[in-house]
Amino acid sequence: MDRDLVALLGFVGMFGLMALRVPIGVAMGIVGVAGFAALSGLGPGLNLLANVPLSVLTDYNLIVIPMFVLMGSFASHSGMSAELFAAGRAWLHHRRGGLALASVAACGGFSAINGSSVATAATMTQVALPEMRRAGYDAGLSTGLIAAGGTLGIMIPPSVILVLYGIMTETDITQLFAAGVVPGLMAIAFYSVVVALIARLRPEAMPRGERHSWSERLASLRPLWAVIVLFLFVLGGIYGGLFTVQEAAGVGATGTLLIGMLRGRLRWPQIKESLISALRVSSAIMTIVMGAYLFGYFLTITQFTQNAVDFLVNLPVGPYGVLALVMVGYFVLGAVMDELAMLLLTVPIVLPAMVHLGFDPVWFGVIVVMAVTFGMICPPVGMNVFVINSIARDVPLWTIYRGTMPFIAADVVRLFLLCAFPSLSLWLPSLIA
Amino acid sequence: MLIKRLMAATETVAALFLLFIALLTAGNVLVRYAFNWQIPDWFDGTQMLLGIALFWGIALTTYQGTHIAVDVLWEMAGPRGRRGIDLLAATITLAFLVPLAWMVWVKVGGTGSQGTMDLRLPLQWFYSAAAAGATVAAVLALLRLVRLIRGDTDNDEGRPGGAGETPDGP
Amino acid sequence: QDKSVELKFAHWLPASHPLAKLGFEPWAKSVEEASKGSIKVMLFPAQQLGKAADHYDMARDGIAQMTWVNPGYQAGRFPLIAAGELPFLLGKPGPSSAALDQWYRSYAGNEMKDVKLCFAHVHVGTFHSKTPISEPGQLKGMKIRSANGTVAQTMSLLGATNVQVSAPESRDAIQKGLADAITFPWNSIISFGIDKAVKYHTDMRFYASAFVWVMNKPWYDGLAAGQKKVIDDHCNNTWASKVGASWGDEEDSGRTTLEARAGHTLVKVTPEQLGAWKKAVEPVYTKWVEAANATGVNGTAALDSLRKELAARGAQ
Ligand code: NA
Ligand code: NA
Repeated sequence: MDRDLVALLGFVGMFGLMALRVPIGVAMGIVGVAGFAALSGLGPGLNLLANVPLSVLTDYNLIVIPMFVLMGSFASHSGMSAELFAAGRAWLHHRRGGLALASVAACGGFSAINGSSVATAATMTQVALPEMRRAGYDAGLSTGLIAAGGTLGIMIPPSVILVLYGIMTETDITQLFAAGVVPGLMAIAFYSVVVALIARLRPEAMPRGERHSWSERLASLRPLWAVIVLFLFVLGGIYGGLFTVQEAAGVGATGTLLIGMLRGRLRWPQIKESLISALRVSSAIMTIVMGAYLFGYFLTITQFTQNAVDFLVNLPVGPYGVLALVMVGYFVLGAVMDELAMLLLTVPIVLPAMVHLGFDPVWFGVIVVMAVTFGMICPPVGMNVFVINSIARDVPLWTIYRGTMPFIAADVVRLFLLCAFPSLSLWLPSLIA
Repeated sequence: MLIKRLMAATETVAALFLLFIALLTAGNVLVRYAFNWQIPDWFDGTQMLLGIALFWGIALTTYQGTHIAVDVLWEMAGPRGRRGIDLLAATITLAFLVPLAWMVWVKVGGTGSQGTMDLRLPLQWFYSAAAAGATVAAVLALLRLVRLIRGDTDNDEGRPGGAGETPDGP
Repeated sequence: QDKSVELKFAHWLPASHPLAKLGFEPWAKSVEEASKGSIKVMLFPAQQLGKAADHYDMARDGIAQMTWVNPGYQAGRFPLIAAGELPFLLGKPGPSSAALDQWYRSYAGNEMKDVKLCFAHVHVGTFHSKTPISEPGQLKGMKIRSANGTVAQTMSLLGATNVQVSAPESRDAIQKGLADAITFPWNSIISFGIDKAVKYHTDMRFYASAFVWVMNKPWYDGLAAGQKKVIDDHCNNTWASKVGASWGDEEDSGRTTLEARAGHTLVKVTPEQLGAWKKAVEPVYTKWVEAANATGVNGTAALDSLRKELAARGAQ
């Protein structure tokens, strides 16, 4: 059969299965195997199933994902996300929009000790949302803010998305982590500006709270030592040359566990819950990674991958024209499909084209995180929004989506700046190279 | 009830493997600096623990119906449509996991005399533990299908993305 | 004109690697020309069709028709070809490749019976370290990134511990203290940037890594007679020698480069020290003979015949 036709049928079949609520990893895997079998014979197709699952699920590089997820899980079960928010509240509550600013800050702080956007959004929904609601904050605004703030989890290091990007493209993960810092700080600043603007335009949406005394404020900072120690130890260890990224993830998870136990916050029930939650998240993610490998090998032998790269490279619109097209494509894809699958399917095609057009692979890693960011909070399929909705059952989905809009606008501005000034991303990596 | 408790126990054991990975990694870094030594087979050991945890984790995820999936069509469908979609998706999942489990065993069978780098422990031991997880995944996919046919609904109702309390995804 | 067929050739090196340029690409081009285009070779570099350690199975299963395999990545699976990894046995890469290939042809039918062997070749390398290594006793307590299973075994024997990281991660691993030394071919030290992490290079031919090119059997059996001849003409001892020499010479050129480079020292090994090394690694030979005996081959005799092949080609 004609290869292009098979590739096309493969895509159609995959999206069809996904629409039928077949697990995304299974949809990719089944089409990968069937497509490979159609082109190379049943034996080779089935034999992909012998090699790929074992190889992928026992890949040492990938321990980073469950370990950083576990670290975040321990951190949230030992109350670190609550401490971050409490500190923000003590310092900012008396201002208009103070609790919203505190949430942004807490999202940023928690992002420094976990690698997941969804986990950041989930824990902040539990910690910050009830307080904002009690203080009379607008439901859409509060939830939209947390959905957007959650995406800091994958921009500020550590980051599961940057790890996967690094593994797939053989880009140095320490460089990628460093590249996420400034864009992450920009996000905190931009989200804060959005909050301040809304506070000015719609004061009734964010009522002021009472002022905390200076002693209360200082006291709120004391428990933050744990977060700071962990962040400095893990990132400092990576950049100070103590251990590799893979080791940092395991060391970070162990360190978070020990601190939690020392403070009496983590006993067996909490430890067990953290472990199980990390296992569930990791299994769900790794099923998709495995499916993406199966689908990817199929695409490789259809030569779709190479043809698509050639097509992108030869578009007569110039490098920035291609970049713009790619971003629009990501925006559309991210709106309707799972971001992880999107990333795993597109990066092997898009990155070689980008590199050929003269773009930096580390910089493009940050841009890919931006693409995922949009996907996580844009309707109709936004994972962060779904997660918030599954915890805060009384806030309708469309209310949350309405709330994310101003923050999406801020992200668009940030994306333009990151494209116009690559040094925003690349300055820090160049320091440590 | 029994099956539920069995699942919970299995999940705890699989999750404990993640703890072992964390402790093995941290322990190895510690002895590297403290004694200029390394735990034999820490590298292969980490990989094997990860594989075993994930194969079993995927099995349980399959049973609980908490894989990441696209719910748009499902959300729009009526009760009968949802049931149809659920049955179809569960059947397709089963159709994927059965050959997967089979082929993983084929791979284990072909491992032969292969061993870990340091201690030359037979890889087959570890691969078999992982392959058992793949088999359990296929069996649980079947159980889930039977459950759906009998009209039990998933206990994670309303999730887009996962069980209520456990968000999954990056 | 024979019915045209496709040969998917999978390997796990970057497309720009010297072996890809000096081995895979010329071979592919030559096959296409000799078959007048009736065999179309498509190269799939960089693990595009599967992970490095799966490449033997990929050829067996027809995921690709030909793969490049490092049997040492699957420690213990192919005990006989591991002779090509024995320390201090092999010398110049070209003649050594030819010798190993000739020797292994009589065993491949058994040990790699579910694929068709195209040919075997080697690379030869040494220690590159943070502190000078000239005697076996110095390895005690060191952490070494080993090239393959046999080197790892040797390191354990000499009191060192093994660090497993991929070649691209080696530099990071050494800089971060995970490893104190690496066993590597000469020029790859430079091309992987490891020269920024190590200063000392032991000036001896210490270890070797064996590689095989293997084919999917049903695919080969299905070729037309003319095509089979083309493949046979490209799967022989001449090509083993050619590929081994062109990659090996390129690697060896790194020795001269590093010798001339400031901050790098070639650690000389005296004849007495070399004798001590050879004596220290003897148990690895014993182990190989035992493993060979276990497969039903007379290990001692097999080792002797490999030594004869090597001597006949002036591999030392
Ligand atoms: Na993070
Ligand atoms: Na979306």
